[in-house]
Amino acid sequence: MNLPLKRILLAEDDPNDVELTMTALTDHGMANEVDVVHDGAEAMDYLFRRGQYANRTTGDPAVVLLDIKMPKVDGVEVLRQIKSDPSLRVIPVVMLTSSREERDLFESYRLGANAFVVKPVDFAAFVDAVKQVGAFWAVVNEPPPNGRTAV
Amino acid sequence: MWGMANRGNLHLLLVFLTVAAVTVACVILVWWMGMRVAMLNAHVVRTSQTQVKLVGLMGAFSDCEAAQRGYVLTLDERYLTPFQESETSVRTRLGELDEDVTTGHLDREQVGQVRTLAQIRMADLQRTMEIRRTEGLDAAIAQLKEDSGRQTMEQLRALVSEMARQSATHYKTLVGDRDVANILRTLSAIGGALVILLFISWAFVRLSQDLRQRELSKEELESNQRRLDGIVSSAMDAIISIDEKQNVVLFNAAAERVFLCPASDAMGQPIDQFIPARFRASHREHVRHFGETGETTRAMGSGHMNLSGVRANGEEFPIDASISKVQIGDQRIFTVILRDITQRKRDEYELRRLYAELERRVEERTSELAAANRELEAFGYSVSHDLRAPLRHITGFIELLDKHASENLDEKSRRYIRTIGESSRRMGDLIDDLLSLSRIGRTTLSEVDVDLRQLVDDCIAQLASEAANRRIRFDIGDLPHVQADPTLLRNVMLNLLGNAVKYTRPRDPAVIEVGCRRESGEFICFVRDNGVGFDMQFVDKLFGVFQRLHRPQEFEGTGIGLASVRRIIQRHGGRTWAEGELDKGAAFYFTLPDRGMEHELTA
Repeated sequence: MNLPLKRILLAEDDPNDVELTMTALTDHGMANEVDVVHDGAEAMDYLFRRGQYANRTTGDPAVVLLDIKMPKVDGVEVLRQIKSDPSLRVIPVVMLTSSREERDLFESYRLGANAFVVKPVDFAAFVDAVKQVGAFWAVVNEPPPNGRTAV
Repeated sequence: MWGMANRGNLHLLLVFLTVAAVTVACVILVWWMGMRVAMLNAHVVRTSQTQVKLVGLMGAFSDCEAAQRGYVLTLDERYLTPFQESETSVRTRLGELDEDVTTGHLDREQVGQVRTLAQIRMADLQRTMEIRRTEGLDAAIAQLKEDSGRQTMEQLRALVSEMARQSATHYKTLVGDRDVANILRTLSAIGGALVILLFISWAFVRLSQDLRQRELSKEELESNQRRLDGIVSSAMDAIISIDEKQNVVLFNAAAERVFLCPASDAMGQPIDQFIPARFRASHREHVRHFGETGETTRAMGSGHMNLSGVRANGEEFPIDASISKVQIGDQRIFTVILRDITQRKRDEYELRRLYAELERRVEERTSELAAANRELEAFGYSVSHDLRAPLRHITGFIELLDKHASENLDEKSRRYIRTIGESSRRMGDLIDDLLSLSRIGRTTLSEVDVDLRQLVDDCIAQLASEAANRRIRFDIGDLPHVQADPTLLRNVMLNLLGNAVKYTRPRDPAVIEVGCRRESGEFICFVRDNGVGFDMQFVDKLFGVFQRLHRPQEFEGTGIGLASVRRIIQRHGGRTWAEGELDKGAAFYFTLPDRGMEHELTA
């Protein structure tokens, strides 16, 4: 399964959530495609190939799963950065959050989030949600041509 | 008033003129009749005198004849003297008759005849006497016997007697006329007297009536005056009247208090001393101008202009005043009613200060509250996020544990794992509901026109999955359009209808009624079902947070739904209550203010 274009970036600070998300994705055969960053700053470094990711050779992810509440730089800020960068803005971004607060929802859509998923408490429902999101954006949806490598 | 007095006066004048005319007429009549009576009387006298004269004439003639006879018989010279006296008398009488001719009492012609006859007779008598003296007794007797003398005398006598008769007739006529005139005069006098008497009586009655009326009016006037004086002197407001020269003519007790000036010092003095010097000229002008307008009363000062007065001690103070005018005869009196509003101004200032203070405090509180609200919001947000995450982990890992280890675990352990999972999920539901309840309080209400019928239909459609495989009859009555937040109202209807569907689960068929009626400015809506109902002694618990009347094993739920309903309806300014009977059914009511009366109930 050497499909670099089907890479998923998961930005999630909580290791439990990471594990559960990974489990859910693994159950659906997508685990090997997931890169995990643990806060907003790291996500930015990953996306903009800075710091520890300066020498990242993989292409841009097919989809970014972005937890809203993260240390250092929060998900909404990361979303803002992605959507204001001409080459990154084409990457679909799915906001993951525990909260159902309208404030986040409006703000995320305003900034151009492609989807907004409230992580259900029910694990089965959570698996379902992750599966759908991952499958839709990483498998079904044809990602934009990898501009960075092309340029 | 004037018109009436005029008419009354005219009436009086007419009566007076009539009476005066009648009186004058009567007086003239009486006077004229008196004149006539006097004149007729004079005529009567003269006529009777004429008769006497005629008789006297005849008597004088008889005397002449007698003296002539005596002389003829005796030739005694002594008879000559009476004869001459009688002759003179005859002449005198004849002369007198001429007077009566002049006054018209005797006919000139007749008197002329009498004179002629008398002269003939006299001449006759003298001739006989001459004959006696010269020719003797016999010749004289012969002369006497001659018939001519006697005839003349007869003619004279007949003529005089005719004249006397005529005069007597005239006399009678005159007396008759005089009597008539007399009676007329008397009647006129009596008539005039009667008219005057009548007038005097009428005038007396009128006058006494008038006097009584005047007395009453005076009393009324006096009592009015007393009442007015009482009002003026006891009035809380200063009342000052000024004449056209703007000198004080009335200064009540309140004015004394307000201006600190005894009335005796103010009366007759110009009003200016109570007005601040800088306003005096313009005030004078204003009052003068007001005097020329048609208005009778007006508030003094215009718009935001502040009026001021000056006390006797020179202190200036704010006033409220109105001015009115009355015309009394040719005098125009202005009355100013004014009030010292120093205290009111002070109160207003104090009120404004307090108000500002209050405003400041409210702002302070509001910002405190806003801060508290923000804190709560942040708290809610972190509860939502931070509590749900570990819960999710519990459920997630329990699930994974179950998957991984269930074959190695006994039934008891597996049940423990199931219970942990169920409890975690339930806790998740509770947190979700709690957050949504708190969201109701935080979201701003956006009230729009909501078609309640449409909303109910949508909710029923949304509940279709829960109602699947069941026979449920929905009886939807006439539902109005209401002013409400559509999202929140949907929450209400979903909760109530969801409850109705849930708690009628043992019923076949279930009957759920929805209705609404308008009553005293509000809509009273209800959802009624024939479900398991509830005991009315627990009715107070129904709308509380996490209050449940059923065990989760019977009917699932978190106990948040009705609390949300109550919160939402309260935010719309309505009320909620419930009626129920165990095993019979329940009815849930809520009201919404009817903000648009134009909305009719729609089917």
